Amino acid sequence: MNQLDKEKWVEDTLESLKDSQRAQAPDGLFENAMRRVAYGRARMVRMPPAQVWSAAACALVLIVANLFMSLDFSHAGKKALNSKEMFTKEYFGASDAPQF
Amino acid sequence: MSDLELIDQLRNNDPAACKTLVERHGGLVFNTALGLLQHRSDAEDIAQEVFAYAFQSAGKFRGEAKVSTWLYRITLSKSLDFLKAKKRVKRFGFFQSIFESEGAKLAVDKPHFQHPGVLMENKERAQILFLAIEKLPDNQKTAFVLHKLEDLPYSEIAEVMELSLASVESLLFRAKQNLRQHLGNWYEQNKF
Repeated sequence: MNQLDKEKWVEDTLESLKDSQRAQAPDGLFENAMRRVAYGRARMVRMPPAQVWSAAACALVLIVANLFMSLDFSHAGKKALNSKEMFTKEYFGASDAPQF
Repeated sequence: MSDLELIDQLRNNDPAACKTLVERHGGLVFNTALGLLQHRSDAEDIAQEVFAYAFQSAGKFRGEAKVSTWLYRITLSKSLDFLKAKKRVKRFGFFQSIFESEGAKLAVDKPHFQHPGVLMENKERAQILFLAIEKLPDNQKTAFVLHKLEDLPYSEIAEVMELSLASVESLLFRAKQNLRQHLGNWYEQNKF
């Protein structure tokens, strides 16, 4: 690698904007600006698709986790009820069981 | 009609004055935003915001500076705010990047922006230069864009950025030093 070549390339690149023209304003700039004034519309924030999908995946994981937890609690609740019935039958006998 | 007379008519909510302001200074606003943001649709968005703001706040313009200086300042403020907001979004993306491959990370450093006004023979190098400009601190980036893309003299840059002439000279000196370093690194990584 020639150091002089590199330095020349760097200097030439640094000057690559020389004699460039100003970019022209897009068509409809006035109308769109007036529309913003009229409706006070906030600028839309464009989110990258990867970010949207990540957020959706996180939300899905939370919903599924919550569903599993609530199913587990209801299952545990049924188990507890069954245990209570069994205990009542054993202790009081089937005919003497108090009515709740 | 002079710019100051135009502002007087803007204060009276004259739509024709709004249109004249855009026709006269639309290129200045759009080109500056484009140089800072390096993304056409973002620059269009910002240009619309700048003029919407200008139409609504013409009453606040005291006429101490030129109208172009006033518009440059609004453009810089909105463009740099947009870049800061974009950086915040990128920091969130850091967590996503943990699961990305190495190849995806390297792709971020590829030249991606073509300024429409650059001469044909300079397009390729200008793309690489814009990649380096993107890495500059905001104040150096601003001074460099105003000087090289808007062709403003140091004195006018000082007026726009509300700095002394010496500060602008120092900013541009440091900007060029940093750009040389970034370009040198790119040359070593990509040319050989």
